[in-house]
Amino acid sequence: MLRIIDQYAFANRLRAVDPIQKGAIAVATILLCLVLDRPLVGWLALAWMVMVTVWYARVPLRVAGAVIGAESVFLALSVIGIAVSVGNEPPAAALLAIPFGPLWLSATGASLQTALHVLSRALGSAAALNFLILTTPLIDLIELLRRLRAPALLIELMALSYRALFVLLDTLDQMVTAQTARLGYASWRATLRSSALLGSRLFIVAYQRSQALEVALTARGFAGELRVLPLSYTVDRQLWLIGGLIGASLV
Amino acid sequence: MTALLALEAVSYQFPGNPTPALQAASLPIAAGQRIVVLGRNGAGKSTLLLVASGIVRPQQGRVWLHGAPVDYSRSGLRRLRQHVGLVMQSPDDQLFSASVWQDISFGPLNLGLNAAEARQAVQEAAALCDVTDLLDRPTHALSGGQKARVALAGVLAMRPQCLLVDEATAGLDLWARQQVVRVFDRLVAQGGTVVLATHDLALARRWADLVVVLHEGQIVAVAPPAEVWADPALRALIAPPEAWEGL
Ligand SMILES: Nc1ncnc2c1ncn2[C@@H]1O[C@H](COP(=O)(O)OP(=O)(O)OP(=O)(O)O)[C@@H](O)[C@H]1O
Ligand SMILES: [Mg+2]
Repeated sequence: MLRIIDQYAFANRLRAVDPIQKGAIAVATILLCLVLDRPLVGWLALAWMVMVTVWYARVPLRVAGAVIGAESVFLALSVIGIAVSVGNEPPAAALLAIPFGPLWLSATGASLQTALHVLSRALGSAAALNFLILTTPLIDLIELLRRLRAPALLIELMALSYRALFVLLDTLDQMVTAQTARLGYASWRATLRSSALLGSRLFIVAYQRSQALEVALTARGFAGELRVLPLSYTVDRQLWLIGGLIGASLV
Repeated sequence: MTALLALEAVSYQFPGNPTPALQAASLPIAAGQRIVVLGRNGAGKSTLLLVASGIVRPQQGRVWLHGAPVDYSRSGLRRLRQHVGLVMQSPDDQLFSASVWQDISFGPLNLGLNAAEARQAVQEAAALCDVTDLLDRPTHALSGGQKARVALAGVLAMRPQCLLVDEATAGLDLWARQQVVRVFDRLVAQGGTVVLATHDLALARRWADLVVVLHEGQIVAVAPPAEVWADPALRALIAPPEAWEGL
């Protein structure tokens, strides 16, 4: 999943657009979802944001759908608590009541509505965040933080971890392939043993990589600060227009 | 003539490893040379380059830069690194940034170049290594050979006088290899020196002015390739007999 998101973040049509612009649109949509109390705000935001991601940025619907789908499962599970109340008497005016041992689980029309309302706004915000994540690689998000004057240490840590993550993922892939080729996962016992070995080996590799990286950085004159040139971006007028229209439709 | 860079009887032993990786190695490196370091796995090639670039400090012996001993203070090392670049054996160890453009810009900025000069240096180095069309790609989505060329560009952007290269041509296809050798040649034509550790005997024979033969941490010969090729004892330390056929 991580790799797929990353891949589209680099390959979509808005890749070169200034992250400030994309970030502003996403954040504005999220704020509107949180602040406005209209019933349709969340659903509208969800629809617009998925549309912008799919049609304007050309991220495949399959990918955008999978991401929002996974999120909606989590969000739906977490609003169940709002929709359902638990009591030890059969509820009076419930739309739905299920006995559960000595307890009664019940949902009223009003509680369901509240739950849906919360869910819609959460989904709208999630879709806005997805728009940003699926169109903006992490290096651009880090660049965004840099421009917003986040602490240098935080930025360097994020940048290094992001790079290290992919190096380690590659290493992990290779080690799993090598183990599989030697029947490392052919049985239950072998799987257990192989994964234990994998874990400890990965830790050592990570450590060695960090040391080698330090050597390489030193050789290029590292003096405690990872200074790099800023990336350059374009501004997309049409996207501002679309963002404005979305905002207007929500308000 | 004072050498650009010189090792004088340097010895180095890795902590926790009883056998020394480098023993009393002496090597003057003049400007404008093509030097190839040969030797089997574990002979000490990488260690030699680490010592020459000031990354590790030898327990014995000295490293000289422009006729003055390298002092291992912050400013001394900074001076060394302005002149001596190191390309590591594995590009994944060298590329720290997720963006190719930003990774290449790291060295020039550390040299104190301003943003415009650094941008220029990045463009030049990228063109030299044929990675201009990779500049806005993420580092982790490159092939091994592409990573190797980006790593080389990151070092060349600092315009070193002496380029130390640890097996940068391994894993490159034949076009890329030719390209990289051409980059080395250009550096040499401008008065620079390239020290290349490699297992590529054909390249050593064809390209090197000088071959350094390492065996168990000792420099056993520094000679033009023809002389090394003519010496069966030296050849036996570098590669098995079959490897020399047709060279
Ligand atoms: N980090 C380390 N810790 C301990 N010993 C090391 C370390 N790195 C290298 N050595 C040892 O130092 C010796 C020289 O290693 P070096 O890496 O210089 O060899 P090399 O000639 O570059 O080999 P290769 O052709 O495999 O790259 C070897 O015996 C090796 O085992
Ligand atoms: Mg080596």
